[in-house]
Amino acid sequence: MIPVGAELPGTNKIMSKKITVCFADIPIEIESKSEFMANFCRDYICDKAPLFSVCTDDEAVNKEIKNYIGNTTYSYAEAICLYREIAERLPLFNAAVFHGAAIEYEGKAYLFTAPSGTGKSTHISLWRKYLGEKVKIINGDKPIIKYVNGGLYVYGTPYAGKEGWQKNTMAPLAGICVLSQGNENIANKAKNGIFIKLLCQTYKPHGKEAAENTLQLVQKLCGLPCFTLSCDISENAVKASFTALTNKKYGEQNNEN
Amino acid sequence: MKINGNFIKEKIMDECVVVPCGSDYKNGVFTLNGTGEIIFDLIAEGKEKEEIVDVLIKEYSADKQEITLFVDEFLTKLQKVGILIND
Repeated sequence: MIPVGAELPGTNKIMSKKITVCFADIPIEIESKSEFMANFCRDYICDKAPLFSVCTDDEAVNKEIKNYIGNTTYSYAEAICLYREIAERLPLFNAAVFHGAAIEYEGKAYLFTAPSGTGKSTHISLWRKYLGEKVKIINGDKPIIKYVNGGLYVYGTPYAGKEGWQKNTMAPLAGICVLSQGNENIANKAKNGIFIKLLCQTYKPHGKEAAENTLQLVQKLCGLPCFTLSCDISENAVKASFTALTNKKYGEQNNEN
Repeated sequence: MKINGNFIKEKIMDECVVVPCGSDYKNGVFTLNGTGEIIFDLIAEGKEKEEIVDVLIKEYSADKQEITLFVDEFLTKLQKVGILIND
């Protein structure tokens, strides 16, 4: 048997592996050189007929390795390139990859977004710490947002950052919080500039139709309750975002348990 | 001069953004204020620099030399990021 990644005899083709995954209810065929993707996406494997296929090449993977901050493997770099190919096509299905940490609380999803290193993962871990098991992490880094039947939904994906917090689940998106580091711990309703802030955290595809769809999707995000929060890592930070996003009184959730 | 067709301009929630797609993807997202948007739209209509200056002089009742300098500077910026290209 010719192993995945090996050259097929008599050709200059490399044996590749194909899997079909379901991201945001969109079946996608992924062709990869390494066995890594099958394991990486194991929670998302499906047997539906794919709506489109993606693959990548050595040039793209080697470029990814070169640009990667830190050490990475060919397999993981290939996985990133493949997600980029998927992200290019998602807007054609009213979906987009979003840079943010997504959680579910009492059946609703909330997104926390900020540039890398600001503290999104820390903030959602604090939600878990102070609000307990009612907080379910959908994805800690790059979930997919999709517009379906008049509503916005957040979906888990295997691309979940270094903590690997993810679950193949989805929930209706009820609010977004743009985080920054500080010690005010006051959530303010986002005003001017929120569209650009959210657009900068959304994958922007090359294709014109996909790019236009992405702008429309981000516009829809702006129609949700959006807040900015300058916060630290205390319980007050959780209290601020919880109160703003859920419109509930912080502290009463413990009485409900 | 003309607007590079690989850029999309959209006015969303009082923000005017210009987003690259296609081969100009590397350049990021841009925002235009009110005056920038007027100039962008005039270029898209096929207006030349002198016509743009004339419109802005009427719009802002400002000095021609000052407006010309401003327009020159703005067009240079648009060219630098690839939004403005030659015919």
